[in-house]
Amino acid sequence: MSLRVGEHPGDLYFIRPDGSPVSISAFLGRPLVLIFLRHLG
Amino acid sequence: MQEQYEEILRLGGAVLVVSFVSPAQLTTYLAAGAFPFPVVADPTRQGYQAFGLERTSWSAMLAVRSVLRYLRLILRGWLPRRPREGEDVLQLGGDFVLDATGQVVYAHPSGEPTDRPSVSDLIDAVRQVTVKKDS
Repeated sequence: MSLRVGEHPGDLYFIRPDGSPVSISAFLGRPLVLIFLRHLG
Repeated sequence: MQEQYEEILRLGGAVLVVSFVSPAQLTTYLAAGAFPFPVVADPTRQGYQAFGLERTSWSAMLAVRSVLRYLRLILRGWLPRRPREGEDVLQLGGDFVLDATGQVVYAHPSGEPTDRPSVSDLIDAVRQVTVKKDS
């Protein structure tokens, strides 16, 4: 089931193009538009 | 895209784009063109799963409604291409806006492959978060 308004995704980790891990919390502190792609380009 | 991104920045927001391809594939793709916002990899799709973004089916991909949407995109100049290695054409995407604490304030998981919100909808959601914070 999709995350709904009012919910929190929890602590998520992604990988930067250079291979280093980054937490979603590094991008918080202000409104964040989060776009999950289907494919590149 | 640049103008709309700058509008989000002016509102005090940020943008993060996530792809499920490997970091190496992402690096190759990003080398071909500059993106003004950060793009990260989620090869295990834990982010996709956390936001409930699932894989669709071939029958849904080829449903009349989806085919008609693709035809409209083609008429607007978009051209379909062969999937790159590692790409999963059945993985659905989605667009979300989180407030400063990480709470979801806008959610648009794609119901089918061509289902995405308008950028103005995303900007409006950022604006509402900003207004709420200032009031």
